[in-house]
Amino acid sequence: MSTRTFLALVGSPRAHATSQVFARYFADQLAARGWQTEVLSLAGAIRKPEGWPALAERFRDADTVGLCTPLYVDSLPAEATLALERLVDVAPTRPQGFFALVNCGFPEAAQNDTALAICRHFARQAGRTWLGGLALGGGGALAGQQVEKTRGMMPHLCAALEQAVAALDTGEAIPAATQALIRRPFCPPRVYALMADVGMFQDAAKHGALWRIFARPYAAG
Amino acid sequence: MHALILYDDGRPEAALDPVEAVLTERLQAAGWTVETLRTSALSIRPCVGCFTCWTRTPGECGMDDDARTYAKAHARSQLFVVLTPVSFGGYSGRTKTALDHIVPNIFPTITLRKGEVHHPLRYPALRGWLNIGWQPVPDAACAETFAALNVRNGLNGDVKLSDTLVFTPADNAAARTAAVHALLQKVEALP
Repeated sequence: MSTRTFLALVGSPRAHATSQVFARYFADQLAARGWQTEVLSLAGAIRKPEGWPALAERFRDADTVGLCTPLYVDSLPAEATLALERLVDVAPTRPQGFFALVNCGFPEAAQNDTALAICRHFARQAGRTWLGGLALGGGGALAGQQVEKTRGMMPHLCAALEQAVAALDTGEAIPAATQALIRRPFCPPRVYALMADVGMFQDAAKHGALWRIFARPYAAG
Repeated sequence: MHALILYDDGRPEAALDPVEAVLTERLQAAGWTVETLRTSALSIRPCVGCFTCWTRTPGECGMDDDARTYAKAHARSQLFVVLTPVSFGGYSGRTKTALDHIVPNIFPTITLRKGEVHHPLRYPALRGWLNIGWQPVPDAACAETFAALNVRNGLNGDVKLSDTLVFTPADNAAARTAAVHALLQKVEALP
């Protein structure tokens, strides 16, 4: 049996993104199970066209592809969308599975549902088998940490990801129970909101913008 | 009142030019000033998620290009209409390149809206956010997602009216015109 191949696509335009952490997690976990894995950035391939042929080739040939992306304005980031518009015409050389993990800064995982639907439609139109969608709320709480380091704060996240990897490794779709597990909020929305507010104020203060944080530069008149 | 139309005119096969014309004509007749931003005429780099517009230059994108043109026009509008090819149930990539730059127009702080966490608005809420999509091949599932996306955007934007139309080659000019008129009647009926 030939080595199975996994391609993790990063949908975030940021270099050190939470989505990158998840993409790396899937790649590392499947590599430990004998898969040949690779992590590639969609934004990177859009910005540097010389990287596009390699990305399209990997996308064409992989057994399984996972897209890890943040939520931008209720859907996928612009560069991820631009990349999918090109990848949809890349026919697979073998039966291929596709799944997505969408994370947002809001605590409610359900806010990712439109983006996951978009990923599901992409898979269908691209001729890939949909292996399921993982919706994660409060992704900002990871703050770029490795998944393992969040086990104390977000045990359900680690458990869900482990279950997802186990399913993917056996060629199965991510179970519905796993997709439900990752959606659990890790803290009450008001607590999360408070944490997010404090973090943003601290960041603005660090950049000397605290007193302008409520500026309205485009106010009419 | 001011209406902003964001139009991805980059796919000639998408028959949205006549829709844009009807939309503009009808809005102007109803007393709206209409500003159309065509993606072909915009020079916008994609949002890189740096949050400069929240924590360094609040309210303004760190990239000095037409992202600011779009955000400023959006801030000063009462009606926002997106004309776009539908990509997998979402906006086209070119549309999204502009649309992602809506972030400067919301505050970084948090509010609860209909029980969900959202960001407060930096400027008065739009009265309406309308999506008009084009599908070269009818796809009901994608059209449904496109409508759901409009509802989500409307909730994020705290708008009074969110609504969606999706056209396909099966819709003739008369049908498109009638649908646009019906949509704008809902706008005109807003209190």
